[in-house]
Amino acid sequence: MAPPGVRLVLAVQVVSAALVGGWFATGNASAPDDGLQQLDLLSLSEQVEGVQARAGRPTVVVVTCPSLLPLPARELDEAYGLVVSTDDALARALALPLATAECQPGYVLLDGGSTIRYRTYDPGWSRHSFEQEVLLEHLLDHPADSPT
Amino acid sequence: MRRPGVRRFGVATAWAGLLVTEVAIALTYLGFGTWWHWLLHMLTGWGVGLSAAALAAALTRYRVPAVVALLLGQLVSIVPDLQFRFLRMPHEASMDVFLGHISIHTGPSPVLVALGALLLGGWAWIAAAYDRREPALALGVAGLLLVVLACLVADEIPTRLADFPLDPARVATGR
Repeated sequence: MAPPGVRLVLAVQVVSAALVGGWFATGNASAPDDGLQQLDLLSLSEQVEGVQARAGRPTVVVVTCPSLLPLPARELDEAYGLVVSTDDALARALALPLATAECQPGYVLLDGGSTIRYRTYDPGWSRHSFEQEVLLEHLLDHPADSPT
Repeated sequence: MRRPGVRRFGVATAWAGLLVTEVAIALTYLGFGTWWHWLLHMLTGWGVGLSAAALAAALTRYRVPAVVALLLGQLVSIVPDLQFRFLRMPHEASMDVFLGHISIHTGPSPVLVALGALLLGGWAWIAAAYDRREPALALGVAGLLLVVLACLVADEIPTRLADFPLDPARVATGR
């Protein structure tokens, strides 16, 4: 008879391997967007011409494609700005080329001074207002010191 | 003296509670659109927990039950996500102390590394359970080294938009 716990460990391994197999079998990459998708880490401090925060408030700039419009009802707190664009040039300027080219939406977060602090792809962005608000709330309290 | 039926019921209830909790955690990640992160951090946490328990058994003969090793590893691995969810704290590079919580994303083949860590850690724990100290030691070290090396060779997190891939053919997204 196997020592206690062995069957549990084997079961966890088998289920995990099946889930990983399912992940790849459904066409997903081992590292979506080079591993940077929805990392929730504010690593940027950069301004892009023409990209402005709404009324000096931390703002989400979503880039998507026309076929995904109209947008679902807004879930994001009204304290934050929300801008939606389908502009291909803007998508490239924000390093989100798939947003318009292949209808894979993404967004950047700006602090109140229009400095870009975060960028990610997120096909389900409209349902992830909690995630965006945690980051925007931080930008409200910690705007960039010296954007490049 | 407790009756065996009562004890069995208690054990079954505890396992059911644990299973429900695990499913709830998985559904939470799914709800955030971060199933990929669940795969990475759970498998890495379970693997490291089992590896550490196997090393403890091999070096000291102190046995950590599998369920304890799994849960402790999982807990350490998801501390930054718990901080995000309940303390509203964005991730930071320093959160790598929680089993490479940041770097594991940008290392080589993250999902396969996480699965590899779980397989090695699990085999290490099983070897220790059968009193095979040397294989337990070797597999346990291998499981931990896999995670450490993956984090050491991971790409830097971009600090400029120009650091992100711009060629659509190079970008793969996940659900």
